[in-house]
Amino acid sequence: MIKMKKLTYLLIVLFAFGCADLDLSPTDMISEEAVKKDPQLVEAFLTKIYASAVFEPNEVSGMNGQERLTDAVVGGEYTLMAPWQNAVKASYDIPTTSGAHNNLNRWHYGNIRSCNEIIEILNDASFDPQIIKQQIAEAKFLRAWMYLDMAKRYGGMPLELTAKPIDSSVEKLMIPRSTLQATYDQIISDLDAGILDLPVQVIYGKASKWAAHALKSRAALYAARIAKYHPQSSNGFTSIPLGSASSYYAMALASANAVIDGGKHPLHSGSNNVTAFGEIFYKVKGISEVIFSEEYNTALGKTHAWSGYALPDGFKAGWGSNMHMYLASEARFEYQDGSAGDTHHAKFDNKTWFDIEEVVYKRDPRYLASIFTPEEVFQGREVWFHDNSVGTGDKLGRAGNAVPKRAPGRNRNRGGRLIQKRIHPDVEFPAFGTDDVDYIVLRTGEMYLNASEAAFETGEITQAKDRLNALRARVDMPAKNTVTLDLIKNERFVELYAENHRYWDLRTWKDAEAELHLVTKFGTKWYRRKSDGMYKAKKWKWNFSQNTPFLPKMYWLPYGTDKLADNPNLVENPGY
Amino acid sequence: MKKLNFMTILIAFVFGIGSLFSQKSITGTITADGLPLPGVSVIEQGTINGVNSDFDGNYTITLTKENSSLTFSYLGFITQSVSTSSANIDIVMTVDIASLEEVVVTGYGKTTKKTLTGAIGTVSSEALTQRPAQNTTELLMGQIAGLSTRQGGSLPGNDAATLSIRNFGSALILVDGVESTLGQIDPNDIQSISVLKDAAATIYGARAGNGVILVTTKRGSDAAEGTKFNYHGTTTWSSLITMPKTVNAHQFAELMEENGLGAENEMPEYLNYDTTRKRVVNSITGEDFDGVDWYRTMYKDWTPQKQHNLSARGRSDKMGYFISLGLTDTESAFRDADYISNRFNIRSNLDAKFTDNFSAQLDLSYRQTTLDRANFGISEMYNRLGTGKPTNLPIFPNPDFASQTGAATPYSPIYMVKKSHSGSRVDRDNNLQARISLKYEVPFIDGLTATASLNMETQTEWNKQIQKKFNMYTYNPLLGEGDAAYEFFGTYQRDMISVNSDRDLELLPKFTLNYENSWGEHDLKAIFVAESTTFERDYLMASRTDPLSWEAPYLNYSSEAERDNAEIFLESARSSYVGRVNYDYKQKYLFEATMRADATARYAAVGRWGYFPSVSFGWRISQEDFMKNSTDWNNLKLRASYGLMGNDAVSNFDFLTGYNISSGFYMFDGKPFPIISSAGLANALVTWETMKIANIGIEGTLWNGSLGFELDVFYRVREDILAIPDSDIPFHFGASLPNTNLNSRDNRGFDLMLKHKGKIGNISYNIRPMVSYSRGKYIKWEEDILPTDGVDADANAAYNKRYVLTGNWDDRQWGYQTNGFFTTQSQIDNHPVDIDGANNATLIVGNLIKIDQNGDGLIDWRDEVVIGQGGMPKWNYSTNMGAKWKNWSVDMLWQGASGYTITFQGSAGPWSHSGHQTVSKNFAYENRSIRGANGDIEILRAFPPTFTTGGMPQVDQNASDFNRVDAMYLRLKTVNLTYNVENKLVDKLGLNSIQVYLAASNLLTIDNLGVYSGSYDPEIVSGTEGGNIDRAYPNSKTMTTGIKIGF
Repeated sequence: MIKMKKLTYLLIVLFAFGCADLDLSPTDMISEEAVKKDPQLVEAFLTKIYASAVFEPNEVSGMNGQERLTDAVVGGEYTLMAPWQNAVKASYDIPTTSGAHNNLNRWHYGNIRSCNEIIEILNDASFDPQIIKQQIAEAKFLRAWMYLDMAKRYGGMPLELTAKPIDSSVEKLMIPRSTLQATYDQIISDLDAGILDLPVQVIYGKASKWAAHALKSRAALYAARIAKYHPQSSNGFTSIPLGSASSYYAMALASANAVIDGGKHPLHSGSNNVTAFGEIFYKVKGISEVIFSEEYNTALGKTHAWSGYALPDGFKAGWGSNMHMYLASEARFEYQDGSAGDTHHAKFDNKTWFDIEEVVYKRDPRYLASIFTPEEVFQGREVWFHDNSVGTGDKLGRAGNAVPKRAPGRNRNRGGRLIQKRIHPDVEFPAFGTDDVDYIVLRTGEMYLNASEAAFETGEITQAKDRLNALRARVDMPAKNTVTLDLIKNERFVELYAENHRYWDLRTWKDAEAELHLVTKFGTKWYRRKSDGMYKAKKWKWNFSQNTPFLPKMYWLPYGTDKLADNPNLVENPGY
Repeated sequence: MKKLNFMTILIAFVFGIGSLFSQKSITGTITADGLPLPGVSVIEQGTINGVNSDFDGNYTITLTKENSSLTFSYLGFITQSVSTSSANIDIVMTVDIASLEEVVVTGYGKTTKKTLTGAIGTVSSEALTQRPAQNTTELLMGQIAGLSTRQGGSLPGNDAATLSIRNFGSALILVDGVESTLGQIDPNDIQSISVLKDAAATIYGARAGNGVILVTTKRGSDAAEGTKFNYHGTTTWSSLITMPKTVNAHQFAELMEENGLGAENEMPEYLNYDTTRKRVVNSITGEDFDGVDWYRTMYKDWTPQKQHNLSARGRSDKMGYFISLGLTDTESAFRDADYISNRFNIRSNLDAKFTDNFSAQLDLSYRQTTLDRANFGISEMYNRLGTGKPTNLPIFPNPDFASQTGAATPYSPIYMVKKSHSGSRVDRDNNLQARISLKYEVPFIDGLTATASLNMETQTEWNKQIQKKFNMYTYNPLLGEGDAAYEFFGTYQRDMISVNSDRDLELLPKFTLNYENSWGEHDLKAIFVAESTTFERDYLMASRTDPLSWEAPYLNYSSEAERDNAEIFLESARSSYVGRVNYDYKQKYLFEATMRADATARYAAVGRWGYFPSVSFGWRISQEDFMKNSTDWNNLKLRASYGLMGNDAVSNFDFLTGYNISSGFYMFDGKPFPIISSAGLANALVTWETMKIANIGIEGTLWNGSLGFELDVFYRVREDILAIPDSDIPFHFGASLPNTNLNSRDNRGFDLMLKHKGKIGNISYNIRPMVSYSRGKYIKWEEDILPTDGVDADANAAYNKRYVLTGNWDDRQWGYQTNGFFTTQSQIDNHPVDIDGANNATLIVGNLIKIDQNGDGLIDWRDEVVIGQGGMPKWNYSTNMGAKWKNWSVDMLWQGASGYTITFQGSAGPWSHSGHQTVSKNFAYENRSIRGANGDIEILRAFPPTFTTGGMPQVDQNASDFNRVDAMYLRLKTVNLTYNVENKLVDKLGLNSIQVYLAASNLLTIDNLGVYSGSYDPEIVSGTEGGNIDRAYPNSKTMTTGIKIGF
């Protein structure tokens, strides 16, 4: 019997050993019920959409994406140091049925579903109705941002306005694309909700009534241009009826004026025009004309790498000298006396010696604030661009320093000018990827241009001229006596240079083929005379800046076979 | 803690038992072939009481039990059992031709080769200590048919070979029954390794789907004998076997000129290019400047590595013990050697016998590995090293000034690998494992034993990174003498300190009931195991920037401005019950059945338990009457097995819905705001993958062991692979659907091993070739398959052909077939096919001519064809060879693989002519001209100047056959010459044995890489599909002197 008892002990032990506590739970989750009850958790869910809305593609960790530079490169504003950079590849890429280049593709349906979920949570929520109303408006603003970001690429989109359950019927799931007009109307209606319910006084970095107005102005202007300038398509996925152009222009004008006249975001100016215009982009916070922006903070580890790419050789630690302005882009910036931007370009014949004070430093203050130019004094030293020194002598540079025989290779071998916008002049030798200059998403400068263009297109010529001249006046550029669409377009280029507008403007205006397709682009080589610091220059075609195609089909990027394979009711854009 | 109480009960319970028996002595002589056989192990069956025969083959043993029997065993001879009826027993041992008595470790047990029914490959301790290896995984190369091994580089601390059984994926590795890693075990501690290739692995259930590798460590010797000490020491010199050769300064300048970039543009100020002589000239001295090879500057020619192991092994009446201390010290080939890996292993495996039926084991093992290195990323360093221009000095006349490669961006690979510049990084892992095991032979049921064990393991990984900022300079002697010649160029990284710590705790109690008995011609074995695992991991990290001074490189004394820290906690648990029955009749018909039940916390309580059965059969045909007396056949056995296994490491809490807390944030008004995001839709039924494997094997030995073979053919289906079922959901639905057990794929193949041994005069030799093959298909894959009827039938069929995986081999690479280059603009203008989608307007001379497969005049995805295979070799082959002559022996291992594709890309690709990025490789320079269209004229492949600053033209970026090689290689993996010092001399020194050896590895490689051969390693490359083959630390050849001393 004792033996039996011992055997029983054994068996008890045996089963005890086989059991571990298997009811564990993950350590990083919150239940659905908790979120429904707590406005702070809804806020955190909304914050996720801000974080992934891609106001600005940011790739500090990935060195070769350079996604943030893509729009400017494909838009022909500037190019990059090397053709293997993805942003440059995107500009060579002719999209096929396989889809557009990665740097240009954006699909926001995950975020759109989150917006829809938030709106549904809030519709059932029982906390403070004021907060509920405001959070719904915020979700709608963000949803509009994401639909616009897709519509400008792909045309009419399938519109998802509810978070559909997984067991929805096939008809409900496999919805067709909406027309481009319906897509834009949806965007505008969401923004109207924002205009109504978003706060006037806003937390920096969050959507406000003014941000909704500004985005509506942009969306309506795009819609109006497409209606006016793009040919009608049979299915309406890549066109908007011509007849509705004027009403969209009117909306664009009204919303732009609402911001301009709202008084909350007046244009920023100062005693020194170059400094005042430049500081808009590196101070951002506290600048009155900034309507909506994405904030960065080095101490908290939210950083980007703009200056790491942009700073010229001699002023940076890692990358740098990466964004080179084309000669043709420079030609769009007038001189301060109002003379044409290419006035002196005839002197770039590799023979004529000229004074850079006159040829370079008399341009529009916005040029000088946006671009690093030869011998520009930055952080107390000269930025050198000259490919070689000529003759003998020891004429010092503009900051009084001795002059090297040749500028560093990266400064002299490409465009001859580099992008300066957004670089904080107080930060010396920043390590790559440690910038925390905020990114401007919406600012009042654009509103003046939207207003001017929309007014012009609806026959309000005087208003068009006034808005244009007001923008010029803040940097003391002489007023235009007459206004044309070309002038407005040029002013838009100058004011919004390197702010990722150009590519989308060219597409909506239907100007992209003429401005981009296989256009030969030039840079400048500078030579400095040692005796007196005079310069001569030649325009040169550096070795990878050609062959950027823009075919008619590229006005609308393809959905791509994999997306089409998902839903038999989807139709591809023409040409693919 | 509850479990520990049961442990106490058990200990108390078993301690109470014990008794004594009367004693009796037996003596005898053991011979073989008429000569005395020393060293035969004589053991009293069922006890650990034993002795060894002496030099004259005599033995004397004192019995501890009545009516017991004696077992006589000696490696290579058939084991015999004799009952102790008389006081004098003489034994004649016979050679075991077919190694049938060889003990094979199986899941939760042991068996002999003859009664094995599964496909199990084994490696003995002798094979593992024939040569040194930094990482024990290397030692399994070419040892077992069906075990694919690839050595992915020899970087200290990152030198594990990937092990995959039949290309299934990562196998489960168990060391003495506990899930572990193999690489850091001292090979001198290993008794044997078993590789369970078929349903034999089923006994490990939900983790066993990709096969199981069982490692058994040494214990006290079998028989009672004095303590034997062993010392094994090696000194190794290693040298890298592949290194890309870059162009010299003159060739570099020539390329720049050819490509219209201007040699002068890419050169330091003090060098000039003489275009007529095509020579780079130092403008100060007027001498030709041949240039510098940055790769050669980076490495030393030979690097030392040392290993020592001292162990003691023995057994007395009550105690058996194996204790061992090992250490390994390895340097990298980087010139400054700021990259050192070392390892300490301490192990103590003790067996104690308390009473006749009660014994215990206490196993302790401790391991410390340290990787002490300069602070840089390997891949980043290679990326930078590739930009080292031959015209730029890697080391300046004053080496305090850090050089840069001459690339547009400040890169300094030579100084990145120096602790003095980039800072340091120390990874220190400590692993302590303790196991106590109590075994009770139940006295009232014959053959029943009960074992309880508790394994506790704690692992601490600690990492400290000191990241330093350093300045790089350009050198220009034209500027002046001394320091004046150096100009600041840029900096690398910023000052920062980070500390990470990761603490794991694992608890594994196990209870085993074992039953073993025979009745006449029936043998029965049964085992029942209950075990569970609980695991916790707590990860902590902290970092700060800008320490006040490097004199005090600690977090405390660094800037408060950018403090960062984090904690991540994980836990998991598993419960299992295992059962197995073995039955054989006349040791001729063999049968085995197993069943395992596994449950894990990863899945919802409903359906958490999984059941994994297997059956296997063996038929020893050679035991049948019609073959028993065959003079040809020594052994012939047919085996078959079928089993169901799982892979449960595929999903974690996917059954829950809710919101995930993100570790990220978004900024509003200067403050970070927290983020939560929907965890997505959940699948309450999500569960493990299921593997079904069938195996048929035949093994035999012929002509007195002269020829042996083992052939296994297998088929495995892998089902319930998780996939997101989005083929019915459009992308604009917006939510990722939950993982669902949907997909299935399979593998098929065979493993074949042959053995031959023989004798020519005084020389005995053996050769053991093996080959294996494995290839997989997608059986069912969650994907869009378009309907092939209706209006879009043709278009849909084309889509399906190109993109659908279901029903196809799993290793197809798609891309364009090419037919040379465009060599003139008129050739482009007249080309009938639109290659770029813009009527060839963007093409330039040098672009690839892609073939229009469907004849529609346009190149797009419809023209893609299968241009390559996977990166994992389908064929693996190897041969072990050995010969013995007197005290000398020589062994060789050849190993190779084929049936895979290497894509040469990045700086390894043919497109690396470049101004400011990667410097061209010599083979690209040599092969830069191509045959013209008319066949006989060499035309310079002037890579289009429009693209040369960056490499590959855009239109050629798509995958094509141009830079792919269907690879194969055969490598002399090791060769080993051993000498056993004469007995007389050894005796004189008072030692038992001395063996000295010379070993070499990776001496010779034959491959088909063509121009890439010698620059890149086919063995590394096969492991980096889609990766940067030019960014791996190469494999090494090694030369070793080793000595083993027994005393």
